Amino acid sequence: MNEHMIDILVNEHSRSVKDGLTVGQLRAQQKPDADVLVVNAFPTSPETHLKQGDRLVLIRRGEIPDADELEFLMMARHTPGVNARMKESIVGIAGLGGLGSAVTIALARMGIGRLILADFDLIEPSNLNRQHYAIAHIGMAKTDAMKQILASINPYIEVVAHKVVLDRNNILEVFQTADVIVECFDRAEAKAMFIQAVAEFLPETYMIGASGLAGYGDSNSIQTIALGEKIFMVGDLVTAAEPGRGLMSPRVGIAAHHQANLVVSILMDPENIKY
Amino acid sequence: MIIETKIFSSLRHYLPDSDKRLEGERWEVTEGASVAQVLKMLNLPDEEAKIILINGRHAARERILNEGDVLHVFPPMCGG
Repeated sequence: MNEHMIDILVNEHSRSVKDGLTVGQLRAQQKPDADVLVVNAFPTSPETHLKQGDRLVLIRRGEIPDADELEFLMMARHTPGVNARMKESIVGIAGLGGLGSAVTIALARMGIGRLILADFDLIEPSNLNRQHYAIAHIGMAKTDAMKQILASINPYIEVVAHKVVLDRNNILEVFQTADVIVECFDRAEAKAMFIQAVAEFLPETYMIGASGLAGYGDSNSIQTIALGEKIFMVGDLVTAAEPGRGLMSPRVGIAAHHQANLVVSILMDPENIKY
Repeated sequence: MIIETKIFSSLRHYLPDSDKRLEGERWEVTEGASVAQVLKMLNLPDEEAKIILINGRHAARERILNEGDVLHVFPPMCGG
């Protein structure tokens, strides 16, 4: 007589298992060293009986998933098509401050295959109001700290970090292999120099700048506009950082994630970017 | 000849009332005018008109405009 079987997900893999099986029994078969058991997003005990459609996650605390497992988990979240495109892509990020640190982390979580980072700066206490660093990073180069952070998020992406002051003489060398370049500088003069230089030296490369993101104003005034076929700007376009109107984490984060989302959109379907 | 402009944010305040301005953002400019000459005609100060593109591509200030060109001028704001 056939045993009644149920279909469940174990660490995102489909499995057909015997009805009545407990979480502890399945752990013994699949991952005996797992010490955290999660069913349908809730922590659970080994005695819990599994039901049709359950999503079980077996975790060993502190274990680094191997490359294949992490790849599978990313595919499950992003779909295989998106995952494959992200993995073969190269994105450059100029500046690792409020915008750049958020853009970089968002793109690392998307599984971009190679990130090219450039920044000359060290982390100061005042950066922590909006930049994705921690107390332990104060005094470190932003490039070094970001490499450390990225390794703790996804150790299988390639990170090329340039601790350098970007200017018209080195932009081509640093970013020429990038599919998309994201401008994340703070000073207006640096933004202008960089955007003009990318437009001049790398005219076939997509470029996403940002302008107007200070303060805590209207979230919906942050927008994405096209300056050219391959040049985009994000921000409210008018609100500069100045004394009395500082750069604040939420609004800088909104702009940064506009930029990161546009990177993904360009990589997936560049013919259908409509702004 | 006639060109089109896309002038952004704070720079728009400088645009002159002029009979050279046609409907919308179309302007009548001298045949063979350079970007620098058009920026001057539009009252756009050099220190603020920092990002300049023609038809979405890089353009130096010496570049000569052609009929139907679209001139983008963008002033980036501090903050990042």
